[in-house]
Amino acid sequence: MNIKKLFLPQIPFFLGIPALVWQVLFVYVPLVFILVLSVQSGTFESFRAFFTAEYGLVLVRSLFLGLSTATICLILAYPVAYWIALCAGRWKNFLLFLLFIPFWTNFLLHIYAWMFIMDRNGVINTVLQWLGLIQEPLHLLHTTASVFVVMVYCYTPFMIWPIYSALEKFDVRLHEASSDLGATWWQTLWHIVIPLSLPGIRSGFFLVLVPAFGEFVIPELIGGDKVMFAGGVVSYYTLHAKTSSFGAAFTIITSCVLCLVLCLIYLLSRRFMRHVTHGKV
Amino acid sequence: MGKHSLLAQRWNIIWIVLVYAFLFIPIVVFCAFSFNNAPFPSAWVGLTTRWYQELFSSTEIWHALYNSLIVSSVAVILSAVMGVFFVYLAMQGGRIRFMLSHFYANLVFPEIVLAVGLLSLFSALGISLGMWALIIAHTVLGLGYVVPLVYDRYQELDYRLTEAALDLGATPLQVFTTVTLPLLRPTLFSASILVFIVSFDDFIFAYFCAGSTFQTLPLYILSMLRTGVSPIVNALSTVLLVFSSLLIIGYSSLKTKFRVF
Amino acid sequence: MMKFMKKKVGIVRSVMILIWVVIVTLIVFASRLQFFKPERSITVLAWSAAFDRAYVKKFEKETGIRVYLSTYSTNEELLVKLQSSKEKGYDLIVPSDYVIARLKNEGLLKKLDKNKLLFLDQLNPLLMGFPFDPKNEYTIPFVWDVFCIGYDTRKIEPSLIMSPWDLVFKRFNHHAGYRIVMTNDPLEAISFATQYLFGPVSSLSSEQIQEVTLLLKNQKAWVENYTNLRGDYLLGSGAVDAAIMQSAEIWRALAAFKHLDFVIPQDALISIEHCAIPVGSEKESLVYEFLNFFYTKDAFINNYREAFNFPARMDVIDALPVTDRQKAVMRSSPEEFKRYSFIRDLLPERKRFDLWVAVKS
Repeated sequence: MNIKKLFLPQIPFFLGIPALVWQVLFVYVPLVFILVLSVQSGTFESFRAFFTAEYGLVLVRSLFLGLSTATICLILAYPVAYWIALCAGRWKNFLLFLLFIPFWTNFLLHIYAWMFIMDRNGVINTVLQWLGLIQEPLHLLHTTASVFVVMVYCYTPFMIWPIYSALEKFDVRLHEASSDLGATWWQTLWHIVIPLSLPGIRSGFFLVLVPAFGEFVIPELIGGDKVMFAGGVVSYYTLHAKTSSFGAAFTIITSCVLCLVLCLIYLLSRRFMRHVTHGKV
Repeated sequence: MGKHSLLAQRWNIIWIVLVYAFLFIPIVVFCAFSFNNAPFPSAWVGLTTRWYQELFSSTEIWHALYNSLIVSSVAVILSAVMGVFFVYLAMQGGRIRFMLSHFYANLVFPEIVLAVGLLSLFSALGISLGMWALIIAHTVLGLGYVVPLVYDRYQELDYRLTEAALDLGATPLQVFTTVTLPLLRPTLFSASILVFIVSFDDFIFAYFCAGSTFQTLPLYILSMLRTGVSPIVNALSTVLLVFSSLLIIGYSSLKTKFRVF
Repeated sequence: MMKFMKKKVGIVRSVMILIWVVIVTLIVFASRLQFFKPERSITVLAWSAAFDRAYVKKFEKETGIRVYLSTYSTNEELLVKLQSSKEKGYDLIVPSDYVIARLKNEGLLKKLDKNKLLFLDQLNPLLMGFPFDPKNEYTIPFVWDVFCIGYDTRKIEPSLIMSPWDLVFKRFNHHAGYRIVMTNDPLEAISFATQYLFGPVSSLSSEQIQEVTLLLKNQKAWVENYTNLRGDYLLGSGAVDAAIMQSAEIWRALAAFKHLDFVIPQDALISIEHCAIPVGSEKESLVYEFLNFFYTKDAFINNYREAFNFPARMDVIDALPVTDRQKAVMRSSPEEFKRYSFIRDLLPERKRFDLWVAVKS
């Protein structure tokens, strides 16, 4: 009797706790493992090995790729999200539905689409040649520009969604109130809409920056693997058994750098918010 | 939004058209060219379905697809079951409730970090990489989607329903199975579809945790991309695109139909 | 009383957590279980294109022996898999030449019973008797490759090629739009550069490492793509003027595109894949059946059709759909073989990769 009274109330716990067990075992323990693995030899030798100009350049380059991709995506995405959330009316659901498609199809297929189009004999070149605009095929693939184009292409939907979600909750009456008070559309945008949607902008920015920073497939397939990025270094060291402690160390280094940048952006966005709303919001 | 100046609206519409064109024209083009009768990218030669025939007769693709389906299905089941029970436990109150925020972390950490961590763990413990390693990884991913979504929905449920059931003499477990669970079912279902798609398309975890012998569809596509450009991939892409679109239509219709409260 | 209940609840909960941890651990380690493999079966560890899957099925049908194919992508991976005690049960492996010495020295290979192998007379004698296994007691050659340079005859006039290596390490004819495909494997890239600069040395001093790095860095200006797999397509579609690749890829490109040709440096690098039996295997008789099956003339012709590898059997060469010049390369005279070198492990993995990162910066 006593046992029953003891065990039965704990059944929810028994049923519910495996999720937490799973999380600890397969998210937190591995993270600890990375830490342990990186200092395997008892020293920080594996960290010191990466404090060279070349690896520093790799990190800087990955940061540049991530930040520029996120910025361009933001510029492309914001007007789209704004229009869908505030102006679209009947078209809203249809446009959102369309947006799901690139979101939910395989990332690699997007890359492939561009490999196909930008190929020397691909659609872009054949159409331009057919129109007589160029004589020789353009050299499109395996350039830095093409890497940026494909990065932006793959990540823009990730930017549109959070901004849209933030703008959807926007109270339209604020807009009306501000224009009643004599503000131009641009002023309203800059001083009211953008600051209020800033959390959405921020999460979109992070949603793009984090994976773009670790991206290595697009530079390899589209860029011709001519430049080394952080993700490539991590994958090379980690997949070769003897160098796994170095892989772990570099993973930690990249995570720290990324974390720092994210914190910086967060603080900057807070500052921006305060500046633009003059501390009143 | 009549307060907008007409100029701003027109400019905005053009921008949207351009962005959407940018997002969709490549897809439309490479789907169209899956019917092109040329083995390499070139101008339009003629209509053919031979790439689809080659696609459907390739055993490797079916093998990879089968692997992907198994991994994704098991991961969905595991994460949905564990997730819903965990949210139920958390809503009973107490310290466990604070543990919910842990699951938001799965989407914050870069996938590559989680994948490297799992790889290190598996190598150190001598767990062979392959199907189960990948299932574990995808379940982690799935929990990161299921728990927040179910929790959100749970909070929106009318607590008076559960209170009424309790007042009528049901045990907490009965309340859960007969009242809460049916109300959560649509969210659970849509979350499962989401997890399935994410797991089906994922290739970062597969790249690190699947080992050299186990191949899922994204890994197969990656190996085909590395080898060159072939219209069979066009055909495969078109098929997957149609499949995803159907799933999206299903998902969207679920979301709008079953929202009761 | 309440405190006592709380303590009991705590114990019960901890036990429950423990139960789940055990269950999860069991699930996870269950994947390690060697599923019951029937007696008449062998486990083969080779690179993915070594044995054509359809032909393996043919073997299974004819002999009733189940074949479990496991793959590795680098020879280091092969070494690690064999060395770790956790991975046992391989009956046949296909290592490259440069790891055989290490495998032999660590006692990981079993001596072959030559009487059981019916095809030894037909093997190319030039592929045997190398220092790492002088009497071929442990390994027998299976397929091999020469690293040649394929080029587009529409863009490069064959008579203007002075030295084949110049196609790779110099801008041919100082043409500004010159582009090549280079290998993406640091091991191969360093071997090529070393061979070009210093010849067949067995180790590199730090000055030499600097020179190699500089050469590869300068080369980047005219490299269109670093890849081991897409070279044939890029060459054929006209995106590049030349490509240095394994002969298998070049031969594949030559079969598909008529406007391509190849040159081979005199001091070219080669790679010979061997078959060997790990010391822990207990299924040698079945492995010998496998080998006898895959060393037949038909098997090699099929292998060529799928993978374009150079066969170790001499009599197959005439039956292949290639030009006489290609056949001559696949046979290769003893003089030519004397000048060839193997890909060498010149730097430890980490230094190798540091160099590669420096090149790609």
